[in-house]
Amino acid sequence: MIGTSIVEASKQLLVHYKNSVPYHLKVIDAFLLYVAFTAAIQFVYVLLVGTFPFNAFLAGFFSCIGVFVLTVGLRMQLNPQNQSPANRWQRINPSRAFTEWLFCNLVLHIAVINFIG
Amino acid sequence: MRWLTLTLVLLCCIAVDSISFIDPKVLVLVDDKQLYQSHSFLFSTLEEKGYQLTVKTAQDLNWSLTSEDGEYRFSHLFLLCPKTFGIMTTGLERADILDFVEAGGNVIFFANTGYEEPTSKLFESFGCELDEPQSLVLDHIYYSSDWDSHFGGKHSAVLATGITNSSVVYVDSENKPIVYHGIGMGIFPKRELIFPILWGSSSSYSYFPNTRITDLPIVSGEETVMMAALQSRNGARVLLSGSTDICANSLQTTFLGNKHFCSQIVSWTLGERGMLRTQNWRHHKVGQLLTNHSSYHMYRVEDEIEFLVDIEEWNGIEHRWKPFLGNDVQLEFIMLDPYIRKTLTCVDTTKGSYYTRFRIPDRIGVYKFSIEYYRRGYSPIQVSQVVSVRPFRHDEYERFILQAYPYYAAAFSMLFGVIIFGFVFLHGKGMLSIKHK
Repeated sequence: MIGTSIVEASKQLLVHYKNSVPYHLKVIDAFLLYVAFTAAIQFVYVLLVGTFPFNAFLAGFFSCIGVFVLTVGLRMQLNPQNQSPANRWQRINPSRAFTEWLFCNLVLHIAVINFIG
Repeated sequence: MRWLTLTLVLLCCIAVDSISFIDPKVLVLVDDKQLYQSHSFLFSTLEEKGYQLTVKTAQDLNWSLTSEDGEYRFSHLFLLCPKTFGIMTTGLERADILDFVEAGGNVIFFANTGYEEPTSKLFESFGCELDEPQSLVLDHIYYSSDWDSHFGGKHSAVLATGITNSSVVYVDSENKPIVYHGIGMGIFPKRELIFPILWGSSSSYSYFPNTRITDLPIVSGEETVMMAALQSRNGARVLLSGSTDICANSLQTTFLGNKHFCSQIVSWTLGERGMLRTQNWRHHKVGQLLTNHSSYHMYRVEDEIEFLVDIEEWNGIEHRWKPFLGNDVQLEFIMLDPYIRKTLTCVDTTKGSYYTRFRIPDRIGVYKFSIEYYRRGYSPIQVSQVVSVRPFRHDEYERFILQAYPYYAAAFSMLFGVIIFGFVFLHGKGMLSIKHK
């Protein structure tokens, strides 16, 4: 019973996601998936090979984490559901959010390239 | 400048003059002039070699071990005064002898039958115990039948069967018997610096002659030491003998080995052989040109370095330093503990150059190169040189490590991912049109 309900629920979730989430947020989600997948690969690799160039591992892994966090921030600001009058983000316009995201990524990658060795 | 040159020339003259590379002044102190006469062969060979002997008896008043400003007038002491030592020799007590050795002077002491107590105290402070003043080393099997009557027929003219195997102290080129007539001594256990030079056969023992043995002799068998030597850590040498007769003129005949033996061990004690020094320390990184002045005092961790040193031995016959050839000299690289210990190999036998190479450990700090070489009969080598070892500079680390390529790929994929995503976000079809908002 539980098994079928989980399958039902996930099916419903997917349908709901397809129908209600706007297209640009779906693109962001795809990008997030890719970033999380890269981070996961590196984590498995470090467990297999060892931590020897530790700075390089930290740089590679943290660049994924950083990009993920920044992009989640961007997604939250662009989500129409968050644009309620009660939400203080409603006044932030999307072009400003995107520019901020781009600038933060620039800073992040300068740090990453410096740290990678 | 002229003074400097003059001083240098003078120094060179002094260096050429001396037999022992220290100066050749010897104070000979005898109980009475007769004792000097009976050992005149030994003393005349010393004088022929260039030693300056100052012969005094304990009754003489006009001598002193030190000058007014406290410096020693002599660099060697030859004491043939077992009866007067410490009793009539004011200014030359046991403590003075110990101070003299501490300062690097060589001491030869011959005890004999009828010695007085200060003599045995002196022997004790060097680590050996003399038997009673009236005792003798006896041996009823290995005694010299030719010489026994000369000493009273008590089987006390024993043949010394045990001779030190240190080839620097004594080289037996003649293989003639050595006759000994005198007191036996025992060396205290666990003494590192003192070692026996001459000892008796397994049937020898030390006791009062012509007496029935009622208690255990203090030494017997091969522990019956007749002569012992001490090589101290500062290079000074001490020779202790239980008999004056062994080097007396009467025993210096062609049939006996006494003459050769006495001259050999006396010349060793006076520093003609086995005095070592190190010269010309040089170390450098592998690949850098080797010059005498290229000794860097700063290395990086994991540097591969080469180390060279010349070890020389003083040759009293040729009056110059000659290369020392050994195969067991070790170099240590020490920071509190030795991190590296390598045996040096002799690469140039004409100079006595020793070589090794090693990789500096991956540990920063202040290290020292150190050679500590203690061998029986040789003066010890204790030298060290401090070097510091620094970590990698920021630009000396390895780059583009094979193992790290996945991380590089991930980081750059993030970079390009952000650029492509940004492009898609701005210009992609169906995206939120942020330009018009």
